[in-house]
Amino acid sequence: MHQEAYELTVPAEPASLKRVRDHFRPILGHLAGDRTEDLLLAIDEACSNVIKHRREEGQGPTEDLHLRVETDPSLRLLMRLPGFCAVADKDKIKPRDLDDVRPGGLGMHFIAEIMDCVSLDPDPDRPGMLLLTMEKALDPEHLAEDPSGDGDA
Amino acid sequence: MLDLNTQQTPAGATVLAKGEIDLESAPELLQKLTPMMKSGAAVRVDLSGVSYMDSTGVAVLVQALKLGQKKGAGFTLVSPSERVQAVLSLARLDQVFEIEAGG
Repeated sequence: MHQEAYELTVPAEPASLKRVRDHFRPILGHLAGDRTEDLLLAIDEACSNVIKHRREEGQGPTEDLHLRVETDPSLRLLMRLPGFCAVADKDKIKPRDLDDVRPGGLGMHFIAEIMDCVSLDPDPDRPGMLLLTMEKALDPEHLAEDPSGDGDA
Repeated sequence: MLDLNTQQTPAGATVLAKGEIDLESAPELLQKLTPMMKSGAAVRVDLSGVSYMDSTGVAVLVQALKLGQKKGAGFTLVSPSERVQAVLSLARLDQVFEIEAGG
């Protein structure tokens, strides 16, 4: 399997979430088959987290969300979101206890449940910020022909 | 993106939700459900037409459930779509809500 990479940049606002899902749905459908909707949920939750935190911090117009979805030769799907959060906020990013039934705080739980591996590393392009990388092993049976005939989108 | 219609019956109100529930649209659902739950009336939410829901949608449903519990009012999810059921299950809330199958 050759490597494929797809990127999308959208304004960091709630109205962008549907656009993100609509953009990546056919791509993930091609790569991940019946896991597509779960993977879209993980992307959506990651983007929502960024949008909510920036809003809570009272930031005005903020930097766009930039998403990169790629595959590697070992059949892993890598989804990257630069500028996910500030280094100082790293400890706040964790799934919450589900035994306490209350609204909110489920996004990171969903991501952790859906993905095989989630990591936060220093963002090489944004000092003081972290890059979110979410990984999922792909099932070769789900892989179809590249619908675009061209990996880079 | 999210259509909300309310049907009143003698047994209470049913909110028919159709579309996608995410960070953008969940506030509309919360705005619709909050006064209904605060009134103490039984409320049913038909989720058969919801094709996508994320954690913000789940949060709104939990908030409505909690408001209903405070008022002693019933809160029932009706015919959740396969996708909604999957998300509730992922949140381990499928046993917390009263869920009515479609008919």
